[in-house]
Amino acid sequence: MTLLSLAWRNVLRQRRRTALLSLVVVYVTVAVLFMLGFLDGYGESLVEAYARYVEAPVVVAKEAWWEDPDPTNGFTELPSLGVPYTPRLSLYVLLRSPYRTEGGVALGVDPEGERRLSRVSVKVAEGRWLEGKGEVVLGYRLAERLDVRVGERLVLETGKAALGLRVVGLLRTGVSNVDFAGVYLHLEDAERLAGTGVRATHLAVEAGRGREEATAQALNATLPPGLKAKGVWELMGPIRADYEGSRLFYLPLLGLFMLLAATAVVSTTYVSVRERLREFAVAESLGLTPGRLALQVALEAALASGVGLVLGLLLGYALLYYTATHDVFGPLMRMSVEFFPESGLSEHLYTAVRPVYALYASLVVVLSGLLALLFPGRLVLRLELARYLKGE
Amino acid sequence: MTVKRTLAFLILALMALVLAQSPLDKLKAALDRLRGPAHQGVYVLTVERPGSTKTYRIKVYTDGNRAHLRVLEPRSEAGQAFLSLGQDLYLYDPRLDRTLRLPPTGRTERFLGSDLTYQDLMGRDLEELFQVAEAQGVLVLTPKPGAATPYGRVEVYLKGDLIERILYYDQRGQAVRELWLEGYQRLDGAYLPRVMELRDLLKEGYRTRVEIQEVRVGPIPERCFNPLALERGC
Amino acid sequence: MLRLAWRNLLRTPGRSLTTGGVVALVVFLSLVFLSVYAGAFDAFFQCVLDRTGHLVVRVEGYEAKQDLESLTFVPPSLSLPQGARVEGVLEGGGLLLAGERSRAVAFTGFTPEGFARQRGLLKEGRLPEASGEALLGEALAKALKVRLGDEVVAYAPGGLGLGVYAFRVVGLVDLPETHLEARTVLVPLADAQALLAPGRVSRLEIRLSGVGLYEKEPLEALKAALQPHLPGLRVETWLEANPLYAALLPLYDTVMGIYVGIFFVLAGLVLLNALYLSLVERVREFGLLAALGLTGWRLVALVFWESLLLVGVSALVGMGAGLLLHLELVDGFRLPLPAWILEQYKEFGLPEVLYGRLGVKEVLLTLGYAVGVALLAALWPGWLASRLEPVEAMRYVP
Repeated sequence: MTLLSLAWRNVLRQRRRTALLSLVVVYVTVAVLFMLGFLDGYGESLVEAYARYVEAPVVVAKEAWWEDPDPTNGFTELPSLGVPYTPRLSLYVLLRSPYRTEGGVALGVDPEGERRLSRVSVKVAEGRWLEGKGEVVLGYRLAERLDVRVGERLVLETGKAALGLRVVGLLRTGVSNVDFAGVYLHLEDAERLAGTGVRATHLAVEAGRGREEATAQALNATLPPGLKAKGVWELMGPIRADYEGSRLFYLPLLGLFMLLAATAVVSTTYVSVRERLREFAVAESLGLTPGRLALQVALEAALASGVGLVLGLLLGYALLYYTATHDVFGPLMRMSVEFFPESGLSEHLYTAVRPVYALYASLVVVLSGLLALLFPGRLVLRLELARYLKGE
Repeated sequence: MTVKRTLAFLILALMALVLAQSPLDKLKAALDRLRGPAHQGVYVLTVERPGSTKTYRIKVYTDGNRAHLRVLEPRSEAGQAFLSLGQDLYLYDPRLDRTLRLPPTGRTERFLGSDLTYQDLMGRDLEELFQVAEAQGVLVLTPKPGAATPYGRVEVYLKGDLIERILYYDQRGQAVRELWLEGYQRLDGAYLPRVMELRDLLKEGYRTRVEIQEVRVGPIPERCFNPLALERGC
Repeated sequence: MLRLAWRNLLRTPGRSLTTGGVVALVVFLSLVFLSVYAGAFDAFFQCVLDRTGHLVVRVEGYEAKQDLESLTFVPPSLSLPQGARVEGVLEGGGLLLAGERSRAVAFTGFTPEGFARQRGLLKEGRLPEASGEALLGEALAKALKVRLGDEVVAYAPGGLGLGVYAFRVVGLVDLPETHLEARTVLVPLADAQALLAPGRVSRLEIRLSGVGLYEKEPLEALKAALQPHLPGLRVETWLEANPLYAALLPLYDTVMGIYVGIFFVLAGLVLLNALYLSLVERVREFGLLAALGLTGWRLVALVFWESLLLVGVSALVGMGAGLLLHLELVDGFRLPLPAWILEQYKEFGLPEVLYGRLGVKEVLLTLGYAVGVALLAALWPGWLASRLEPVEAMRYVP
C-alpha cells in the first residue's frame, strides 16, 4: 500500500473528526477566496473605470504636459506613434447655462475614435453620443447642476473663444468622475476654444486588459524624446492608494487565517497519532523508517485539510460567482461615490473569479502538512519502539 | 398710356423691392440708432431691488462702438472707470489702484451690480450671434448654430425704425428679461433713447433704469479710448 | 466541577495552549482592530467637526437659494454659554485673475481663528496675517501659474461689495479633492466682506469646548435655546449639516460587529474541534464518571465548564495584551502602510496620525462574542457527552 492510500484510509477512519476540522478549513477557504475575489474585483473596477471611462489604457503626452496639463504643452501636430491612437484635447472652460455658471475641464475628442477605445460613448442615458461639431455631451449630474437639458444650448467659454454647443446626450456611466464632471465635445471645437494652434493635449492608445503597463513600457522605448507613455495604473489618482493599502492590510490577515486553520488540522492529527502510536511502533518494527512514518502523518494532515479545501473551493467559487454576477455591493459603492465623486469609483463592484485563488487557498494544505511534520511528526520520529510494543 | 403706367408701376415696385430692408438690415439700422452718435454725457443708473434702491451717476464718452464710462456718484464708488473696445473690456478701480483687463468670460457679468451686463451696454451681440427673421412686424432673433448665447429667442419690437422693446427668452420658451427703450431724442441726425429700463422677469422687484441726464454730441478724442486713460481720466 | 474542568484542561497542555492561544489571538486582534478602526473613524469625523463647527447658523432654506444676497445675513449677536466661540464665514463665487489667465473660484473669508484651523492644510508659505493676503489651492496656483508672493485679482461683480479686490498669495493649501483645490481661495473675512457683501456672512460656526465627539445633548440644547431668537435663520448641528456623514454613523457599529464576528467564527470552529478532540480522548473516563453517578446533564456541564474556562482564561490573556497595545495606540499611531499610501489617504480626509479608541461597548462586544462562541462550540460535544452509554464508553477503543 502506498503511503498515500494508507494516509487516506486513516483519514476516512475517523469521519467525525475529519468532518469537524473540515469545517474550519471550509470556512477559511471561503474567506480567502472571497477576500481575494473582492480585492481583485476592486482593482478591476478601478482599472475598468480609468481605462475605459476616465482616461485610457495607455496615454501618451509630452513630458511638459504631464508636469503641467495646460493646452500650451500640447501637440501642434499630431505625431505618428507606430500604433493607432485617438487624440484628445483637455482644457479648462467656463460652462454657462442660462441659469448657472461653473468652471470645469472639457475633453475634445474624435467621436469615432472614442467609440473604439472607450465605453463612455455607449453609456449615453439620454440622447446620443457626439457625431460632429457644435455638439456637447455631459455627465448627467453635471447637467443637473447646470440645469440644462438635451437639445438645449450650453455656452463653453475660454479666454480665447466662446462657443454655444448643443447638448446632444447625457451620460450615465456609473463612474463618478464622468457622471459628476464629464464634458465631451468634438476635437475641432476644442481646438477653437483652446486657440494657439493646439491640435491635442494627449493621445489615447489601446491596450489589452492586463497589458497596459507592458504596452506603455514598449512605447516608451520607441517614442521620440520629450514624449512619455503612462499605463492605466499610473493614471489613477489617490484611489490607487486605497486599493494597495487594502491589499497590504488584508493579505497578511488571510495568511493568519490559514495558519490558524492549519493549527486546528494539526491538533486533530496530533490526537489521532497519539492514539495510534502502538500501530506506528509496529509498523516501524516491521521495517518502515521513522522518516516515512512522519511523512505519512504529514500526508494525513494534508489530506484531511484537503477535504475541507475541496469543499471550501466549491462553496467559495459559488459565492464568488454569485457576487460576480449580482450587484451585491451596489449600495456600498453608491454611498462611496457620493463621498468621493472624483475618485474614479464606480457604482458597482463585482468580485473577480480566478482559478489562481485555489492555488493560494491550498496554502492551507501545505501549512497543515508542514506543521504536522513539526509536531505530531516528531512524536513518530522519537518513538521508543520497546515501550509501545510492550503494550503499555 | 397704360404701358407707361405699367412701367412706372413696375419701376416703383422694383425700387420698393430693392430698397426694402431685409430683417437683418432693419435690426442693424435700429441697433445703430440705439447706440446713438458719438457723444459724451451723464447717465443716471438706478438699480432697484426689493427693499432697496441704489443710484449711480456715470459720465459717458462713446463713439457709437467704443465707450469710456466713469462713476461720478455715489462718493464711495466714484472714480471707478470702464473701457469697452469691442472685444476687450478694461476696468479701473481707485481702491485697487490699477487697471484690469477682464477676460471675455467677464463680459456677461453684471455692471455695477445691476441687471445690465457689460454685454448689454457695449456689445453688438444681437447682430453677431443671431439670425433675424420678421413676423408680423416683430423681429424674431434665433441664435445662429454654435452661437455662444444662453438665450433661445429674442424678440425685437420696433416702433417705426426705433427699437421700443426687446424681450429675451430662455431655451424653454419662458421670457426672462425685458428691455424697454423710451424717449428717443433726435440729435445731429441720429437718435438716442433717453430712458432704458431692464426688468428681470424671473425675480420679482428686480429692475434697472438708465436715464440720460445730459448729452453733448460731438467727436470724442482718441485718447479717451486708451486703457491708460482709465486712471487719469479723459 | 470547576476543579475537574480545570484539571482536564491541564492534562493536555499542548492542545489547551494551542486552542487557548487561538482564542487569545482572536480576542487580541479584535480589540486592536476595533481600536484602530475607531481611531480612523474618529479622525475622519473629527475632521468634519473641525471643519463645520458644533453648530452652524445659516439662512433658512439655504439649500435652494442661489444668489449671494439671499444666502448672506448680518450676523446677530448670540447669547452663548461660557467657553463657546462663534466665527463668521463668508463664501461667494467669482473669477480669480492672474495676468492673462483666469479661473472660476469660490472665495471663502475666515476670521483669524478660522485660519488657524486651516494650518494643517498649509503646504507652502504661511497663513494670512493682514488684509490683502490670500491662500490659494495648490492646483489653482498651478493652473494660474502663480507662486508665493505673486498678485492675483478677485473679480466678483453682481454682489453687494466692491466686486474687485487684489490679493497677494502668501500660502498654498493642499485639499482632499483636487477639483475643490483648483477652485479654492481663502482670504480674511473682512476682505471677503469688502469684496462680496459688507457686514454679512454666509454662516456662523459655533464651537463649544469640552464636548465629546459624538455627544449630542449639549448641541441639541444650545440649538433649542438659540433657534427661537433667530428668525429667518436655521441652526443645525454638525451632523445635520453633513447628512452624508451622519448616515455613516449607525452603519459603523454594524460593520464592526460583522468584522469581529468573522474572526470569532474562526475561533469558534477551532474551539469546537478542540472540545471534540478532548471528548474523544477521554471517552473511557467519561464512561467511568457516568457509571459513578455523574448524570447526563452534569457531564454536559463539565464540557461547558471546560469550554468556558479555556475561553475565559485565553480571553483574559488576549484582552490584557490587547489593552496594553491599545494604551500604546491611544498615544497616537500611524497605519503600518508605506508613506506614499498614507499621503494619499490624507487626500481622503484621513490624517497621518490616529488615536486608538476602545469603549466599554467594544470590550463588551468582544467578551460577548467570546462567551457566545464558548457556549456554542460546547453545544455539540456536550450533547455527545450526554448521550454516552457508560458501559460502551468504558470499553471504547479508538
